[in-house]
Amino acid sequence: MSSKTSWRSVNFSSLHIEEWNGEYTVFHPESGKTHFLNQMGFQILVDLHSRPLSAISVDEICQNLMNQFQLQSDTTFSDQVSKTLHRFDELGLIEQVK
Amino acid sequence: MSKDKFQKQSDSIKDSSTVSPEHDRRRLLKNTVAIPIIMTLSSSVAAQVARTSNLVTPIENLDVAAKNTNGDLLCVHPGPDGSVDVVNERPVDLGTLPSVTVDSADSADLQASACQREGGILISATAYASLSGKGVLPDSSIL
Repeated sequence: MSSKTSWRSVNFSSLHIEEWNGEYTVFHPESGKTHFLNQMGFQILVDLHSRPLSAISVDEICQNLMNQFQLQSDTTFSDQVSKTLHRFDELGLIEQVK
Repeated sequence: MSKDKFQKQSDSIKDSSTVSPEHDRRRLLKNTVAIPIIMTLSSSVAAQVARTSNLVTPIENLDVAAKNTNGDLLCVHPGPDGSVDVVNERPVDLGTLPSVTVDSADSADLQASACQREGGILISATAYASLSGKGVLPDSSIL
């Protein structure tokens, strides 16, 4: 997976979000689906939403997460984040910017 | 290792072996902070859950199907707010006002065919007992 791909949020404001003690349920009206996210999964959506005018690269997203969750740099982690981003893309929550 | 510490570890192992799959999933979601996790509830499941809690799975095994005291099969029909398409939709939502019919045919096979023809379903005796206990279906002994 290319780390050069950038991502941006898609209609974040339409999501119905509830926090359940550190877990999140996100209802996506357009698909009618409800997603369960842990804190890091949700943080990715928030980070992308916080920069609506510019796409964010996978590397930058990983760096933000490592800072926020105090993690060490790790290629496995980058792969996990990248897979999650593609999953979010499939679900229509975010989109790729090339 | 002190006795207390050993006991705590043993309890922890014992606890982890008896937790349900739901508990495991919840623990995974809650405690795995180091990787992002997303799980999706599909819309069809969400729609089913959102209707009523009177969900049952139709069965075809006549031996375990709900019967009255005469041994006749109990054919369950979803109410107006339940599922219409009982063939393709499993589990079936019985809605809030399901009904029950009993066919007078001699064999269980004929009774099952009649039930299917009329748009009803057969459910297990256990499921029937659960729903009759909630007052959703009539007691099988009076049918």
